[in-house]
Amino acid sequence: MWIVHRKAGLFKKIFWTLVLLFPLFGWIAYGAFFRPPSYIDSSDYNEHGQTTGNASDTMNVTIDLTLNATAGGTNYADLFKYTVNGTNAPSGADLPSSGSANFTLQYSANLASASNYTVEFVAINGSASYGNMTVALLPVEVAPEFLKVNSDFDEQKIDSATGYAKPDNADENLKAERGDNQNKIVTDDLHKGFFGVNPNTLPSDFYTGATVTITKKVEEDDDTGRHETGTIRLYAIKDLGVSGEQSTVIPISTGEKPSISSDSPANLAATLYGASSAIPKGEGVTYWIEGVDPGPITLEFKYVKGDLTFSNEQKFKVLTKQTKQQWQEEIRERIKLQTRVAGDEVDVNTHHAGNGLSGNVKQVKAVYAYYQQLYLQHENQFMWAGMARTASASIYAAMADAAQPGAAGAFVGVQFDEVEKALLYGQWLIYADLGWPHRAYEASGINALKYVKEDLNEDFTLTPWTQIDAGIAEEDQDAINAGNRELLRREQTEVVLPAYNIIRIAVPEGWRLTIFNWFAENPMPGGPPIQNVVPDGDITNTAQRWQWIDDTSWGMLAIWNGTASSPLAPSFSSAKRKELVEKDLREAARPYLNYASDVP
Amino acid sequence: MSRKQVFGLVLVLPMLLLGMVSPTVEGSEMSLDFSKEHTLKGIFDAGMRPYREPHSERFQVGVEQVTAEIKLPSGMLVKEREWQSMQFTVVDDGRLTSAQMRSNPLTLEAARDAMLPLLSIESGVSIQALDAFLEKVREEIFLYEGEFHVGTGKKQNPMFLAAFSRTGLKNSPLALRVSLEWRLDPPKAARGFYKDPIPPPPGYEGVSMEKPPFQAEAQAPTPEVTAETQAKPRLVEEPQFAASPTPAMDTNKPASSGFPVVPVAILTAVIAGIVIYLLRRKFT
Repeated sequence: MWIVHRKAGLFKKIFWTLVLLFPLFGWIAYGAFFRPPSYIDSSDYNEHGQTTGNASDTMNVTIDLTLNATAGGTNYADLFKYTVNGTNAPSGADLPSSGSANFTLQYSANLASASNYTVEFVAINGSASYGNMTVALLPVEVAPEFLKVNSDFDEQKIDSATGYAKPDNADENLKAERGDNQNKIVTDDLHKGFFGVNPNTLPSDFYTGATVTITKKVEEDDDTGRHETGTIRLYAIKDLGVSGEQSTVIPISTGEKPSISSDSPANLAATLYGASSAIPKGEGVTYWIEGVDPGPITLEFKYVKGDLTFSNEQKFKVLTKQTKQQWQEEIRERIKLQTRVAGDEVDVNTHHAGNGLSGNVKQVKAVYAYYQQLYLQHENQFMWAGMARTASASIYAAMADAAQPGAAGAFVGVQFDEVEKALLYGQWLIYADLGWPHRAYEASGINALKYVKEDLNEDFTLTPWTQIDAGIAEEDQDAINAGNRELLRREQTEVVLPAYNIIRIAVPEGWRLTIFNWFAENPMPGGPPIQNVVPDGDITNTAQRWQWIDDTSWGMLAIWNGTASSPLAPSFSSAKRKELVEKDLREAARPYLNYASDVP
Repeated sequence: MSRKQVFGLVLVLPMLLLGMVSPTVEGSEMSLDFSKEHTLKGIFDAGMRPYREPHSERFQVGVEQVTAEIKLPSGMLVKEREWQSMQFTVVDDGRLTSAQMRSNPLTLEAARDAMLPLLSIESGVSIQALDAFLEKVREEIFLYEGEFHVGTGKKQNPMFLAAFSRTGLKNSPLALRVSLEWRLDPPKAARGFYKDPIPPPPGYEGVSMEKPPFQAEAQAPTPEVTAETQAKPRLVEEPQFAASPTPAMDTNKPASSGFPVVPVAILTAVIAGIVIYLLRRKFT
């Protein structure tokens, strides 16, 4: 145009140039930025819907068995012989047999018990029908997709040696030890049902000479690449006419007893299914499944009698799916139970900073005792909890100093009542943020935390816990320590900042160096004060405080982990950590007192 | 206008038009583009020089005080801002499994602007809920638990979470916290941590990954609230486990437009200049 129509007006030429260039621009933009719409990959269709082979041939077939029977959540497996009444039908074949075509055995009815049923046998393409088939179907019960870990404290049992509550899955006794349900069976968190053929389903002679096993198969956890860790127990409970009376626990468990082990599963034919079985069956007997150890599990129920074999395999997860608030409530109940049995019940939820230390002594001690318990029950694993319990001595002393009525006279202008409240407030913030993930992990493993993060979208970071989890599984202390360091970083650089903010407001400029530097003793006994690590450092300054903690040579973390290299700092062994965590809080706090004569 | 000038104009205009839609953000110091890959090399390629985190040399690297934007596979763009710190967890094939970022302190207005485009990632979180939280911060009411946050959960990979943290500063009381956590495929790879300290990625073998010495004065500002400038801080009355700010049902999504202001401004100025020039030539 600029050549052929060179005499055209300039504006006209520019106009048409732009018009012509816009398609070019559009083409470039399309190629560069257009995103095709997402689509759903529907390739995962049901293979059973496909027909292969010649369905009109003789009935020498492969039966691709799909039982579309959903009777109240109960699945059904095939059972040995069947008879098909139809043209060219074979008889007396086993399911499945061999052959040249695929069929789908369609069944839709509710099976109440094992029996012979007439089932229509239809070629999937509809071109041929083989009439009705009589087949015996066997009801097989399965576990739920997610079986709760029975790790709460409904049974209210206490370990007399430690004073700690025992989770309900700690033993096979389902009876409550105390409380409203004392001596009654507690099945709140168990699944009512059986895995495999319910002992009440078939007559005992069906099992004569048979071998019946339930096996925990050795399978790989898809998420971790490690062996599946889930375990369960099965129970039979007979109504003896006495409310809550327990008759028998099926001697089946994984780990402790060989009945459901992976390598030597016991034959349950006589003890569970036989005419004179030790375990009750029949009227008034119910069966229960208990989640014991968290994680995925693959179980196989297998029956073998002569040439007859059938089995049912299921993969499911032993997992407690609870909210953050439910985990917090579980801690609260455990603390109440333990303190009640010890003689003075404490409800940590009555902790309120506004009441000062005098109104919170029991609650403060209970929270620190929780950290102590976490560490002592998971030594060298819950490192953050152990460090928090050790550091609590200096914080508790600071609370006592701030609560001392005469303190304000010594430090004119300092609002010690606000400092006292801020310290209490900070303690609660930390407990509320970091206390519950420990309980969730301890009770139900990493998948419990994944549930809270991935499904419930809570504000916490999963990565430290996956590091800790991998470290525990692979005995990698570095990984455990790295995960715990991230928990500490969150505590110190996020969670506790509002409390430090209040403290800064409460302390006038003139006293800051004195209080935030000179008085800032190392919470790790024997560790350097902040001014040695960060000259003129201020504990209310996040970066400076974190340096005091994180310095690789003589920081608190290096001291606690036992990796400190400075000759001027201790470096704790595992035994030293335990000693510090076990120490009585008051005794540990006294050396940190600056003003108060003692701690409550 | 000469023929040469006209041809020049024809060449320049399309280039300007293309520049208008270029993904490059003018003035961006760095761009962390996680839309295609999430690797340690990507961190280096973005211009950052991360150091191995103390006590965590096999697992984590970090950087401090960087200005960067973040692009996610979902197409979301966390706009350029100054980040006080970033930490990345790395597995032994160089992939990242998590990124934790904390912004420099923000004023309430800046915090609101930062969070507004992110509200849409979680259904049911309203502007009113955000404003209610900001009002609590303005009034210096401290919650016992549950500061403001929004997140995708497992609906996206990486899981994305944006939250506020208190800074303790009077005029800039909040920091934006962004967390990304990837589900690796295959998942079992997540356990493959380095056996030795994380090495520099290919192409950066000679680059030091040692953490620089701590310099107190170079760190983020100390909280500067003082008694005379502050009202007495207030805690919420009940110390119960308070839930996060209650999400309302109404969701307004003022998503970031991403409109390329700078290229458009340049283009407009150029075109205006040409027009004025031509008009002057025509009438003089």
